[in-house]
Amino acid sequence: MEVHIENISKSYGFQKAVDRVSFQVKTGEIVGFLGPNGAGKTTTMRIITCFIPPEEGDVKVGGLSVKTHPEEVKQHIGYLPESNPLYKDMRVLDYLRFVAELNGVPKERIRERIVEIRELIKTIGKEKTVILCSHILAEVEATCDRILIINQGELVADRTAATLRKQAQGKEIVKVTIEEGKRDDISASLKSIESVELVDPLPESAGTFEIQSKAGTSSRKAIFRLCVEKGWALTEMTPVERKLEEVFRDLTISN
Amino acid sequence: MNKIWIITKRELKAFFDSLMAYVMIVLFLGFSGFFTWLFGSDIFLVNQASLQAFFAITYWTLFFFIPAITMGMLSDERRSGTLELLVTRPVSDWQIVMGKFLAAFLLICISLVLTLP
Repeated sequence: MEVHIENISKSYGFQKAVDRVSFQVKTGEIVGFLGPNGAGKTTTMRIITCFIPPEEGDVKVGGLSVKTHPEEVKQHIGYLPESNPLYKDMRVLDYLRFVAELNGVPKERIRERIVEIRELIKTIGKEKTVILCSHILAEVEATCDRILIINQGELVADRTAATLRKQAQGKEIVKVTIEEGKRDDISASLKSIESVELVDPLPESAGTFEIQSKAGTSSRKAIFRLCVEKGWALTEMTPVERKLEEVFRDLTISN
Repeated sequence: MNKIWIITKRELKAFFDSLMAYVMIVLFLGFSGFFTWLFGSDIFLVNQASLQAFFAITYWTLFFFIPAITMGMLSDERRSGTLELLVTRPVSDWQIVMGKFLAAFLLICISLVLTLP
């Protein structure tokens, strides 16, 4: 069951909610679909699930278009809208039974299906195509094979979590603590190292800095040599891991 | 047809699980009865066992009763977000509308049957 999103657009008045977005999701793939508030995530999901039609472009689920075969497409989609759609006057079991009946689950199987749900969630990723739409990044990183990021209706990234992080990590960042020297002195000396691009003093202690190197270079050896030369004590040097949050922020702010 | 019935069943259950249906039926019967027997009608004066007066009144009470039942059927779902759930299930818009129509229709039939005694 592959999902093909082909150049879909949708506007609300003058506001372009989704602007020519295209991507594909293969069978068995778990995809994280990210973006800041108002980026177009919900609209895209609503178009895929046949809740609203796209103005341009088309979505094909298993080869069937949402425009011409919405019934068949919906038969293959399990979708829980973000608004927490509960009928407040129904009991939980009645609610589950109602939704199961609507989905065409045979009556005698409904009870066992409800029991199965927990197991199902665990194993669902193995054979089904899952699009997880969220802005809880840690969760997305832990569960998804691939991550899509959308901003202002446009797709800005379509990569695996690892490549996404590596791409943003192009520049080496290390946190160092140097003792037995003056803050200004240390700062000036660090800046004079050829491969250093940015020296950022941190408030933790007088000798703590975050050092960003120029793209493709490493300053770690140079920093060590500098300390030896000046007779300073280097008490800490840790590479700073860029979190997915920061990558996400960079990608969505620069646009 | 089956899908329509599933929706109808849920709607009817929602009517009777909440106070909605009971309040509406009591109001409907109360007003119809009051105007037919006690006020503004000449049912005891015409010397005929005719239901004419009742039907003349029912026509007005239904006029308010039916919209009161039906107006929330889609808008409430929209407000609580359940419309999105319903529409994205494998049912057509036609089936949803028919299901809801049938539920309202049955409720009105039930209250009309209750006017018999």
